[in-house]
Amino acid sequence: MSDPARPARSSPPVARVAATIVALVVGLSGTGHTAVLAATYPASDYSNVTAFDTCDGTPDTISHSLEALAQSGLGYLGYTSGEYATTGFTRARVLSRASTDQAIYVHSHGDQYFDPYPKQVQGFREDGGDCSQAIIYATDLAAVRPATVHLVLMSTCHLAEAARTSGQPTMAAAYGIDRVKYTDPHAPDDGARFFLGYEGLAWTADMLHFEQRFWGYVTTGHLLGDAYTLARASAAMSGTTVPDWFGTYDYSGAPGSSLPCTRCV
Amino acid sequence: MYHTMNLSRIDLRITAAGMAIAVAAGLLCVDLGERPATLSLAHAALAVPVARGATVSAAAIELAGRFGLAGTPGAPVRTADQVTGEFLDTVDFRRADGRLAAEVVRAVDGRLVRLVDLTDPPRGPETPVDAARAPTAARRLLGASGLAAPASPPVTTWDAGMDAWCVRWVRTIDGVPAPTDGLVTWVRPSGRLKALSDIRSPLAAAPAEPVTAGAATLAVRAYLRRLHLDRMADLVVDAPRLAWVLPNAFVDPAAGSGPSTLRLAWTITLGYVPPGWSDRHAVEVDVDAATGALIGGTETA
Repeated sequence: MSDPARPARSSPPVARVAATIVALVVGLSGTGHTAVLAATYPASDYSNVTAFDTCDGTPDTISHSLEALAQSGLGYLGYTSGEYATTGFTRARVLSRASTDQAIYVHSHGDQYFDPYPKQVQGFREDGGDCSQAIIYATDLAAVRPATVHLVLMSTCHLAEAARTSGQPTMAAAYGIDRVKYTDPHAPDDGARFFLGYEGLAWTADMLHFEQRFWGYVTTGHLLGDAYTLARASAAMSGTTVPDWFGTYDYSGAPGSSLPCTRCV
Repeated sequence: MYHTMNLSRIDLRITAAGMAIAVAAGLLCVDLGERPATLSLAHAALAVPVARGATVSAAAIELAGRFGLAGTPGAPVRTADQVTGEFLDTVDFRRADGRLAAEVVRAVDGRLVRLVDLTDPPRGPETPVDAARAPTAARRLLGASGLAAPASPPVTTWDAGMDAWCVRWVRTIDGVPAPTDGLVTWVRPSGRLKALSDIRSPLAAAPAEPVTAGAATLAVRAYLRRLHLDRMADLVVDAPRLAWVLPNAFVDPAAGSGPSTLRLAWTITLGYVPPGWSDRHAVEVDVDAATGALIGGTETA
């Protein structure tokens, strides 16, 4: 593929080493390298804190932890990510930013909601700071998202599933990502695109264990497919939480040609 | 002398100073059977002593040969597990083009913890493995790795993300399950190994006299009253069940996120409909069987 965000297998070794050094030095400074890599690749990191705290009545720190992990990961990859929770995570903001975002992370409630009954459409709930929590549907996002969405991570229940109502877009499809796994590095693939989500009910403690490892592998230079596989094999999770992925296995996750990928070609 | 000394970083908010402290703390613990105080977001690679590194490398190469794994092994790297803090020695195998081919992970005592084949070998003429045959295939693969499968029947599910059958034996300690631990084998439809994982988190001592199920229920009822969850619509409190669980900050946000050790607990599942919701919400709360204190939980997203 000609997309510059694919792992640059043929790029000069010097360029790869330079990119690695920049990522390592800036990363170790604790400031993130997004300041060095200009704000060319916008992204959004949303976490529905209120739903898992005030609304269901239980205190919650997992939503904050997941949001922080995603923020660090997106920054490492080279995205300039806005971080939104409570009143900052609204349907209006998601749809507004969706027109330019090249990566998105959402931790919230997700499902195939009736819109209206009996039609079911995949979606997730905004936070909004209260418990009314409007739904952002896949159909809403499909209408506004740009062509260049690279990375979509849905830390919710149900959004890696096939559509229950024929003809309705999945959340992956809403972002232009085939619900297909492209694993052959020598065959045509989905380009610089990767979707991560969960099938069925996902439990937050399991999600934290899995995503902690997933980001751990991503930010130590593993390709996204490898990061998924290694995280799946290493995370202490109950058997009921099942993550899944679609897109290009060999994609690094980086939006541009300056790859922080120290373990790929 | 050491094989390797390389630092990797996962959390941009961990400063260089913080990393140095973490690594220094880790180095002090190496081979002493201790675990670092907190490395929950760090993935710092530590040095592996030469003698130990040679053993780890040789074992990894021998195992890779047994499974026909591709790639050239790199030097072993020691890291602390992000949740339990246990030190693990990893050998990565790389293909000629530099991509990762396999990962072999052992505990510092030599126990095989994980073996993952990251290649996508073409399917051969073998008889396709289905759900019924997957447990037998898993037992064969575990035997080849030197791990023994329990006599009990496993749970077998198709894992789309791994493109393999997931054959899982949940770990039990004195008959009590540890739902997040276990021996898991991912078997490709061809019958070849995709991955195996033997997760055995450290254990706290079992209490001599666990609190009763009734006391655990009372503790959760008090928690429900304190948070006014007892007013939630259609509240259902299931019967307590014993399990070994990893404590977390679910009940007490002030609880730290340091290395976790499995504790014997009563797990109680709650179901209710929060105000304004149409769907039921499921929550699990864990009551420490030694102290009666609430030590964690989880909920559905």
